[in-house]
Amino acid sequence: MTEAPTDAAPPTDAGSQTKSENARLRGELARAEARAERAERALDRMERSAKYTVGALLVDAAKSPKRLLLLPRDLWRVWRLRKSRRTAVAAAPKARSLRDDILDREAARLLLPRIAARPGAAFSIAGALSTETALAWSSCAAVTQVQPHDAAELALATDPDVVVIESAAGMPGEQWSFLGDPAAADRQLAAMRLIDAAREQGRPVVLVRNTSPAQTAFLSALERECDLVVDGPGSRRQDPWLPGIDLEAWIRLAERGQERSAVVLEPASGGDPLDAGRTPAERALASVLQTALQDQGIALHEPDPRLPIAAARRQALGPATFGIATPLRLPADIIGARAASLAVLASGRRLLGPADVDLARVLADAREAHIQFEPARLTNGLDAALAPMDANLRRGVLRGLLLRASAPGQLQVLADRLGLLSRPRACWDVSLICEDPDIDAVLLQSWRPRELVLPAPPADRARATLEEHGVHVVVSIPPVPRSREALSLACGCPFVAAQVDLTDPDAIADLLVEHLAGLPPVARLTDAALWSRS
Amino acid sequence: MSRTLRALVYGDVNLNILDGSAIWVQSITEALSRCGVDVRVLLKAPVETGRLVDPLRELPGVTVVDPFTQSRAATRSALNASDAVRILEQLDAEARADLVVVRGLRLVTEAAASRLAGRLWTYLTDIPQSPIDVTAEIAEQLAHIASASRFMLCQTEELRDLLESTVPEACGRSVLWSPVVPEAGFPLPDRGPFAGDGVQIRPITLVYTGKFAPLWNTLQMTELPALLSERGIDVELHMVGDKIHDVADDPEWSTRMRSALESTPGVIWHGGMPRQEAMQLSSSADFGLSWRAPEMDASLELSTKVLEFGALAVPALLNRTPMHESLLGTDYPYFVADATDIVDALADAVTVPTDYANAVAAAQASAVPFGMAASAARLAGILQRAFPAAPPEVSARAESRPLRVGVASHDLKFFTRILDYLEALPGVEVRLDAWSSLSTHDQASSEAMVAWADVIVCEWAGPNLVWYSKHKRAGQRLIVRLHRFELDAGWLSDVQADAIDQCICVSPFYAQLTAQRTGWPADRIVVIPNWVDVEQFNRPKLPDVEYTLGMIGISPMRKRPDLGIETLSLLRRRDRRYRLAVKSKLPWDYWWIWRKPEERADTEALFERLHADPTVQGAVSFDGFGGDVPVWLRRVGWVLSTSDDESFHLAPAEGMASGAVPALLPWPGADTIYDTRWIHRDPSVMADAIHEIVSSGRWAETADVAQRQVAASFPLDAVCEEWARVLVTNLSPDTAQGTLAREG
Repeated sequence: MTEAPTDAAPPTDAGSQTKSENARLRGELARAEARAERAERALDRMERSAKYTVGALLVDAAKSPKRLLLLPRDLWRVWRLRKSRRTAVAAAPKARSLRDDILDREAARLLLPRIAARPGAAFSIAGALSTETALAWSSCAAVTQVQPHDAAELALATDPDVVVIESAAGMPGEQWSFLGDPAAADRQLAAMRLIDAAREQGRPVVLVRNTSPAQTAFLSALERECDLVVDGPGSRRQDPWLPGIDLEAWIRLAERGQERSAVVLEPASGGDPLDAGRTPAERALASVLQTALQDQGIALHEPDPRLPIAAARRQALGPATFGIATPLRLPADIIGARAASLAVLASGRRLLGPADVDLARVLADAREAHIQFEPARLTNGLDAALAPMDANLRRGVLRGLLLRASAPGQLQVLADRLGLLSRPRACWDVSLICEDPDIDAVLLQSWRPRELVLPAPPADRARATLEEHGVHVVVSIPPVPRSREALSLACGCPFVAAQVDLTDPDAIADLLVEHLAGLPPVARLTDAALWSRS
Repeated sequence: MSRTLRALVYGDVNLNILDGSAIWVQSITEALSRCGVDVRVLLKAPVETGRLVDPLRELPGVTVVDPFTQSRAATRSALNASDAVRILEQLDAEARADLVVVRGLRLVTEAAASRLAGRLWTYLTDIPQSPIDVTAEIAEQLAHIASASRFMLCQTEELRDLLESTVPEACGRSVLWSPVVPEAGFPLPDRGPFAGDGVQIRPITLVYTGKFAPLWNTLQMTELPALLSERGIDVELHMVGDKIHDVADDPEWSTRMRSALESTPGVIWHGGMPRQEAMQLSSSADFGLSWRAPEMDASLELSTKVLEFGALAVPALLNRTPMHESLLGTDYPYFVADATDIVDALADAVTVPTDYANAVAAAQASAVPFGMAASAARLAGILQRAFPAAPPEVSARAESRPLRVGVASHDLKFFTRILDYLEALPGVEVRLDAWSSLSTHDQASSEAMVAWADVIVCEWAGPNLVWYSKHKRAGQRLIVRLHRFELDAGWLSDVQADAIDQCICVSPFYAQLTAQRTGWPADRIVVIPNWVDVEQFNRPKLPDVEYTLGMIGISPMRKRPDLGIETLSLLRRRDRRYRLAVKSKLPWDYWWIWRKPEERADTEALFERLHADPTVQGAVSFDGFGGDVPVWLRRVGWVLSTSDDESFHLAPAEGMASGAVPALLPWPGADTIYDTRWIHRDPSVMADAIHEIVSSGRWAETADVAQRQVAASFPLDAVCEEWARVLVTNLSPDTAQGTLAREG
């Protein structure tokens, strides 16, 4: 079939000329495509420019009175957006037909889950969140956990109060796994689109760095784009802030195990639960502890990684008498008070762990709940850890957690820092019924009431001071006899407190934790009471 | 390589100054020289010292081009980018270079627009280090450079990841060119032990070489002797270097640093030293210090100092970063985060000598791949790929004149690398007959091709084959590659079968099916598998990937993503860590798919399940579509193939090359391509197999088996050679029998 070619040989460099010509033609084609793409991008940039947007808004406003009313808000959003004008590289549109665009718009909705915002929630959050944080915050806020492929669209659809990007969401197994690793540039670009979407709606964006500095190092470019960057457990101490735990969920796990056993709620992935540290010094500490546990016949539990996180922790905590915080050595510049440690304490168990200034700050007057891990005095430490907490200590621990490490309280701190009017703390707001309150004592309460219910109007200055500090004044005391039902009707907060001795600055906080944890009331000078209106 | 290659090298760097860029020029030149390449090195600035240039002149096959003494430069000023590119073009015109190695963004940008385009080997470090900072303009600039580059040389895997993820044109062209550690010009000393029976017997020596700057923790290092003394450990800290940084927001820092160097007990400051002398001093130390501020952990560059310590058998005390873990192993005992860690590590070194011995071994082993010998060998591999030798059959056939190969196709997406290979073969000329669609073409061009070519290759058995089978010259060789969809098309009956010399299918199953359906002579139907560029895909995996399943391409629905999701659901009922990552366009991205009601219905059902089924909710990510599959596969541990039918399905093969484990459902012919051990009866059996391997801790060893198999079965170089052979000789019809899977 095939015969040898017979025609004469061409010049020797013909091959390389042909190759060059092929390469040139391919190059020409590539450059033409690049030019077309460039033009598309220029058009896209123009359409997203402030000039174009403002012009379109003015035209809309001229056409519609409704749009005219909304014009100031729209212009404000454009102003916010101006910082974020950028062309998302990965999202640069390829040349497409109009037909494709129409099809896309129809279909891409399939990517979006049904939005499960809690109706009536006082605070809404959307973001790249770890499972643990999303669970904790869901106790007091409408939380939408976005994924890289639906992040921007979901943020637009839910219009949250705040958008949060949490570095822990980039850990293996999480929805944004490897966010910050150069091998996951697409995740960073998705996070950037999420930020752009938030800006488009005029919503603030917070970056929570709560993983090791090595894991957040590659996020520095994202940090620049966020309105606020805070540092959580595991991160280097720059602007410390704890994301908070779902206090009520952990309080419910207060039934302690009967056996001598410990729990590590935050094990290293795989292997020994205490082997979280990998330097020789950390391994040595783990070895000392393991030996001591064995010597004292103390079993060690850890969450089953195969289970969903909430179920796994419930299962691990159930039989345990006390908890062990890992890693066993905490560098001074790394933030402690990890959620797992706080959870152990909230469940009524003591915690054995390294020196931790953040935990000490949370516990304030209940520091004996945290037994410091000292290899030289480990036997004593284990004995102390096994001892149950008395009611006073438990109250002190819960008060500390309520004030400084609960999700509603911590989200309130965040909302205040961002200047948001929303109240994540609203679920635990207290109406305080008083006959003749000392205004200063009210304001000095560690858990300040949201509402002060009085029988008669206070002086104008007193009212102004209270309002200035976020305490609303309501003049509405029902006639005697004053039943709880009748008093509740006069109040607007989920909880009502009455007969409170305001000379104790923790009076309301203690009443609230007693109520949440079902603790027996402590003996007080007055018949103080706090109850739920629901 | 069958001939001596010619290279031009320009680093856009002043070789009178000793710094990293100058060392780079020296190393790439030496490596090329060791590969037998004739190298011309263009200087940027007039020679003031021969410290770096003279050693270059002594290398075999290396010519240093001094444009200031050869009347090529207009002035005595250092060359700017335009002048440098102009001179490179002159040099190329005088003797055509096969490769032009250039470094630096500005210079490379100019070179990409020159006549050197296509032959550039580009090296860039001065580019954004985050995808967020890659603006559209920079991406465009890099795309232009990538298009003009034969290879883009990347210093680290991380830099390659970033480049390929943000610049699609860089995919497939990016190769690693790591720092090269200089060879010690002296025998390594025997330091002798610093401890015995858990007791220190002499001072431990620490060494730091380099600049003095806050992020390099150099001030904190000077506190180490005192801290260690408190623990009863006697140390000497030797510090080499004379560059003390001024710190804008801490003007006193440099004074404090200098003072600490000059007056801290236990610190011996040597000032600046020539490199070999510094290396000699380092080699006598027990530990090297490369402990830095955490901000430095984000660098995409690898510290040459760490490698240098390793080559000198000196273990380094350094930060735990993903890059360092992959270099030294996760169990390396001397990762440190702060001064306390260093004190603990040294105390451990005194009491646990095995840790120290292991660290020395790990450090030495880590440096071996970065030595000149290993680097030159790696470069030889890259050169071999760029300039392959023709198989003997082709060389013999091309003795009288080059073999003329015409390729006719409307779509070359599965043929690109083969085309690159054929174009690079000595003695082969390639021309394209680009059909504008499956059935439309420029008849005159096709006729010219018939008149010119010795061999016609029809990529796809479409109307192009019908036309060429009717118009080819007598004696002209006609080769066709038939993929899959063509078998259902009506035009095959119009093909003049006896005109076909070889019909190439990608799997034995499709070869047999082609024989049945077409009735073409079975002895002309042969198999050359699809290719997998194993070297491109073989990259380190990220942590915990054994729980991540991956699917590449899920549209249309015959790819059966629903079965992938069912597998995921079954797995997550046992372990919630399993996730599924999808790299694909979605059905609505293809109008021709989305217009079909049944596709829409199936897609809606699929997404309904993803949103409603708690076992898979939030566990599937759609990671888009693009050429950066090798990067994406770094985070995938399993690649699924659940289609109803495929002709080959490259995805599992690419996964195997990446170090993932394949898992296939038994689509027709799967067992003629892949080992049956990877093929499972249904999603339930597939889930059982996956979970059994993961939960028994056998994922890594299984992935290793898969990787060796794919490297033995369809590696790019072997597939390309088969293609070269088939241009001149018929392959055996036996290739259409059995299975392609080979044990590695």
